[in-house]
Amino acid sequence: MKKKALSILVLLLIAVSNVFAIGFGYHVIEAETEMDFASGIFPVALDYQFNFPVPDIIEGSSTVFAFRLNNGLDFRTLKQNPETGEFYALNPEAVSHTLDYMVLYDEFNLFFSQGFADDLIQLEVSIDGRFENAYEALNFMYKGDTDGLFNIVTKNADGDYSSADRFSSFSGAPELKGDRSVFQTYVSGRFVYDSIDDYIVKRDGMRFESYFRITGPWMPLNDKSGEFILSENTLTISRTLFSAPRSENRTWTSFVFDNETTYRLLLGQKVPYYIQGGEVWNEIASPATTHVITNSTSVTWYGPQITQDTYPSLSVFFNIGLSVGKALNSDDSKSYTELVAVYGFEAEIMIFDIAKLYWQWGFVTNPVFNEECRAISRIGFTLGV
Amino acid sequence: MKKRGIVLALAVFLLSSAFLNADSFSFSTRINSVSGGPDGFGMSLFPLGTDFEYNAGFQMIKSSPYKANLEVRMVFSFSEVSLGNYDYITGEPWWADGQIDNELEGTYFRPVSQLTVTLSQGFGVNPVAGSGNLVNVSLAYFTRFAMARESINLFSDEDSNNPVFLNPVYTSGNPIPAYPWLYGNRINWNNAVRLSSSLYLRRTTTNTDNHTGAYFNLTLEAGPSWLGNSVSSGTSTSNYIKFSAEATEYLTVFVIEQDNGWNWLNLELGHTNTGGYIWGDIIPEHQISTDRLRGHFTDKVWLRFTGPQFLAGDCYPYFELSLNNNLYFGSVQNNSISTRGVELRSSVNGEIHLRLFGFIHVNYQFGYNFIKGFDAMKPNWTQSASLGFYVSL
Repeated sequence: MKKKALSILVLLLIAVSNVFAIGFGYHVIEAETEMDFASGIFPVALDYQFNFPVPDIIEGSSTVFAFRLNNGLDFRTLKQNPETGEFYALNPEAVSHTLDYMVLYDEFNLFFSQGFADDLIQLEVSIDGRFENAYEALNFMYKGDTDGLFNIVTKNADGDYSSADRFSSFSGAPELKGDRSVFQTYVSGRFVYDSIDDYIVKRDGMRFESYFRITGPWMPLNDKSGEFILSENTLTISRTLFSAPRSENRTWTSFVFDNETTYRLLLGQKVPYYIQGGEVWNEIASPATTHVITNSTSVTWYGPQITQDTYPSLSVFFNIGLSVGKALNSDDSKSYTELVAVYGFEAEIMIFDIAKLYWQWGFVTNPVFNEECRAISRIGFTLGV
Repeated sequence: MKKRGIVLALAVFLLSSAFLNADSFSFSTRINSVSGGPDGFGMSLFPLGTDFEYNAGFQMIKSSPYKANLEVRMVFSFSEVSLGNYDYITGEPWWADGQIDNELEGTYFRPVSQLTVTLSQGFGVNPVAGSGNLVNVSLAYFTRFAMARESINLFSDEDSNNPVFLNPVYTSGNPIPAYPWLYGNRINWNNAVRLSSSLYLRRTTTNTDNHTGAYFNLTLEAGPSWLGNSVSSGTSTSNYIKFSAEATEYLTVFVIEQDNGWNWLNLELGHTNTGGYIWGDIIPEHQISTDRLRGHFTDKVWLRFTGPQFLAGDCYPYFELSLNNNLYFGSVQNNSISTRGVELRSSVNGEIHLRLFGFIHVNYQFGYNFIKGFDAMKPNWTQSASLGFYVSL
């Protein structure tokens, strides 16, 4: 989840504006990193896409038929008690064991996308699938004295180890049931209206995206471990506040204001972790309830463009998330209203629009439920095209 | 570790900026292969590891008509590794005197990520093809990050109740000469430099990757202890020099074309020799060779039938029949006693491949293997067969 946040800039600059401009063949969309693995310098996951050769059906608008694969390793923190569905953050003092675990995953999308009116509007339909397997965290038993999340480990008198299952039921985390592996298939659709003029360090305009994803026991090849409907709607507004041109394709400096508002409606009996979303910033996510609204406001200063796509930047942001409604995967009928807020900055050096070196710092000023206010800092390196 | 990461990233930045004088830099991406996960992850149908690279062609020598290439290649993979067969203190192999006094056992989880930055410069024109370079010289910097952690299947059933790394061998802090990558916190960051030179005297005869001509390569690789290969206590995790060479000859015997220029069927006859030796007192995990013998010489002859191409130019099957003779020799790696051995492994292999859109690659291979090795109890001849599925370009 945090890696999604890490790469918002890459995604904004690359995926959104350029996916429809890239041609036949392979494209690495993003190399993803985790702080627990080589401090985020080396990749542990990759998102890439193969475009099949198809002609544009409507002249001036792109037609894309592609297969996308995202695979690798993901580090996660359990947020709800699998047995009861109760939010751990409501009573953080009561949790004495680790909540960290690790997931190996694969997600594929076979999608068809068509642009209209010179790509001002895009429509996409997709058949998707996801395979996941959850394991104890990478450092499980590393010091020899730690319990796992799924295993309560005891050392017997004769020096051998034995383990007992920590959880006996999994209604609060349906994807962790049994051997903790899932295979789910979906259908999804997307509508995009994009009028942002994107010149890398200058952006002006508005973008609206509506994404819809559904799965249930009726889907073929599905192991029936998930059942949900997701509707995610995002409105982005960008405005260049100031820019000092250097040459036709470059600027000395510029300031850009961005605001992104997302509303997520998530309904269903079994909602797996990876679709819960609601990211406010990095690993901070608004609690998983039926309705989640997140808003991100930022002002970004871009330094001189050494080349058109090599430049430093510094952005100051204020992000909030508001969760309303019943907790997902919970028998609890109580309705929650919870506000989460984070402010901070992100300093970055973008190299050829491919590699990004960053330093991020954020302060959680209004944490999730009863967790404590805290600052989070990370540096790293990401790759994408 | 953070510091090293920043230095690395800055080095990449400076390196790429230094060669940059125009906005007309063009990059291309390749996915070389994908691999499955540990223990048949996702029924072995779902890939988990990936090998991909970026390439940029540019002019490095202003007066030269030949282009240089900068390649950034990244690989990550996840696997489960089994220990055994070597004395962890002396590095003595199991076949030296039939038993091991200090053996380590168990299975561990190993996530690996590698980054290679290669700068290469071409010279001359390949006289056989009339295009492309005759000689290519490259200098590469290789860096690899790997961890060794408890098996992901630990405690998953009755038979996997034994954590590997709680053994005092690992926790005492003493070096583990036979397994330098399991020392200390078992987080390995290894670095190496590689100088390579290739000679191209071949031409492409079809659009299904067949050749006529020859190819030669010499490679020297070094991972000395002073190149960021020491952990904080001063113990080194790598110290070696490796030399390897390759000579390959090809002959396209016949090509039968369709009306549109695609192939119905073609036949390539090929032959390749490789040889190499690795010197050094600390061989890191990724340079451990078959049965830990330092030297190798291989010989392979193959017949490859390709075609027909259908639907698109990059959809075609091929069948390859090969005879392989591999000789492993020399002293044992990470061994303080200098035990020597020789081993011959031969095989006859058949492979059926199907490529679709250069994208989906299905292969089935079968073979008879002859191993004249160290295990007297093993039959000399074994059969093998496997089905593979991967993405390739």
